[in-house]
Amino acid sequence: MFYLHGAGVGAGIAIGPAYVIQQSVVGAAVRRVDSEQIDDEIQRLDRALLNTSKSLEKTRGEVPESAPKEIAAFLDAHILMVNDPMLRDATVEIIRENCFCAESALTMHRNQLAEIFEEMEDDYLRSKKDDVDQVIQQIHHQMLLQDDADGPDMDNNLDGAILVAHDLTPADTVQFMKMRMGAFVTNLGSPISHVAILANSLKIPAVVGLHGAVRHIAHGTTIAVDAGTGSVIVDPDQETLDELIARRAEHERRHDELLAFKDQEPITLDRERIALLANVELREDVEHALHCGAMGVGLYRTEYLFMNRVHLPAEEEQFQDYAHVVKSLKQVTIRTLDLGADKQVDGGRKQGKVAINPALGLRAVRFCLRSVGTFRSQLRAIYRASAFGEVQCMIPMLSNLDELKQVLSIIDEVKRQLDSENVVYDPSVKVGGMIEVPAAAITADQFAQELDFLSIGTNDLIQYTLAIDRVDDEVNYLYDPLHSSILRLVKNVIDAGNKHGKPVSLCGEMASDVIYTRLLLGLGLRIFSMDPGAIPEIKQVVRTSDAGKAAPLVDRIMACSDSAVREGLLQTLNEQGASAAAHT
Amino acid sequence: MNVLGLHARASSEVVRAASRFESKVWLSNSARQVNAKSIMGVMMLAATQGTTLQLRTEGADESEAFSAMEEVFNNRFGEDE
Repeated sequence: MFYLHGAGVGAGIAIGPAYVIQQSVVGAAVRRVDSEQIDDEIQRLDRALLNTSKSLEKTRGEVPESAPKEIAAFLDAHILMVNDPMLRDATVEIIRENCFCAESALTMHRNQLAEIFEEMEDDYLRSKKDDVDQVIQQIHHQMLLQDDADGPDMDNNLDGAILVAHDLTPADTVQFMKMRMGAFVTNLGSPISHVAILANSLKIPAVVGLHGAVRHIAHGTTIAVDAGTGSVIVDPDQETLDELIARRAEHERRHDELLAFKDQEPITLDRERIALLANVELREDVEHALHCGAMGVGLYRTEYLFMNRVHLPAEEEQFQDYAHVVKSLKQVTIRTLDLGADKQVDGGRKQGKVAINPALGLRAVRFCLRSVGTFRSQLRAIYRASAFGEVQCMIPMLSNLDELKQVLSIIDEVKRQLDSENVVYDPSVKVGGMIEVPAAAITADQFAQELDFLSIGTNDLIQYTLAIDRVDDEVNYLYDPLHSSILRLVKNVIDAGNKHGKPVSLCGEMASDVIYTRLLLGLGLRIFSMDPGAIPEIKQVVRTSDAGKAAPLVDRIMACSDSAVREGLLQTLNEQGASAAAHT
Repeated sequence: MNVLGLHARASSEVVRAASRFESKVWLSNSARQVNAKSIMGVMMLAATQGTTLQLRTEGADESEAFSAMEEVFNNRFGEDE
């Protein structure tokens, strides 16, 4: 048994067999076999091909109806590739001619195919090379499993398994979404990277940023993931296992206990009404949001609809998803496409010209103003969905008023178009913006005059203001929501909203963390939007907090330039209500 | 030839249809000839809209195979666009 440490994401403890995703073995050295072993190698190959096919077919059978059609199509193509007679025949020939082991022959065949695909002029077909790589990787993986005779038969039962990988792209996590993994463990990543956000959304714990330690985890080993401490316990002994199981049970019991209070109102001790809303990504999140007592959706991230697929979703498909969420949750703030940075559309993969720093590049509203057709379709879908409930439209990454004016004029066009088509929509849909770029946070009063509401996106605001890359775990240690600059900016936005009578919400990870709740209340925040699973605990803190009494201490924290002293003051703030809590 | 050319979903249809038959099924363009039962082969044909492909079948059920393949192409692979 040994421990590995990283950054914990989400909450809770998961225990299960490690499902390790190997990196491509494309660069592996060639291994030769004796001529007598050739037939054995061919048999190994055939077995691996058969098992890979079975595994893919099983996954294919489990793709839910609501998943984008492209996922099923992409799996079907992979199944055909694995069963392709040419793949097998060519690889067998390489084994025979060169006395290669099966893996090396497979790699060589893959390289041959790669060359052919590279030559193709059609971007789409050239991108099929990645499919070939994925399939070959899966076959390699099967061979590894076969050799480990004592290993558990992982592919037949992924329930509760813990995904272990070097990194997971947002698209990967969507792919694994339906496999009921117990937890994620990755080398790369930070608590605010998209993998982390998705782990939260799936309600499972994760530990990220292990920096290479992942290689110490063997496929099939029992591991435990403790998000609270950010540890991964590999092959725990019985005593440790018992302790973990007990703690896990305790955590679940406490969570259920809090859920029992879901109908209680989030009101502070000084009778301030607080709105606790949910952040959702997928239409499946709706049930969880309702279950946790969310009063509405403060942030509906629409990007997931656009990921892991070849063709952008048409207006109708978007409309169906938005309408479903609006019907279920009544008050929904839909954020327009925030693509770019660490969320790339797979189908739009470009060969070559990739922005050096996508976080600062053409993404979100900038991308939408460049691809007006796509933007209009989305806006139409959003406005049509407004017929079913109270919808707000939110624009991400606003940085200047000119682009806002352009957006508003496009929205006007869309409304006039819908009018001319006699399509029903709510004409009073409010249009607001994400305040996440420092430029917008500093000039919040100008934005507050032009928008109906503001939403502070602390994840990106902190990234941009402190100049740290959200997904670079080398500089994670600098991520400090208590930094004076951040607190001042947050306060500035809240004040600007108050001055112009526009509601201000906060939808970054800060909203879901109990240690900042009272601080945010003290800064004047009254609307929080978070991962649904966090709502019960935040509600409890709200009910035991006095927003008015918190304000002076919050001012002191803001004025303090010493990070250690700040943390101490925050602790004092959080313990302030302890005696009050004892009386409720 | 359908709008998207021979893309993944379309290629899958072609391969599935061809694989139903005992006969050999060949598809060729001006540059190469491929086994229509091989998805890699069909994809490598990289047929884009407007290309002319030649179909050839050979074997016990060659005429059924031929008509079935023709039908797949004529139906434009059931693409939405």
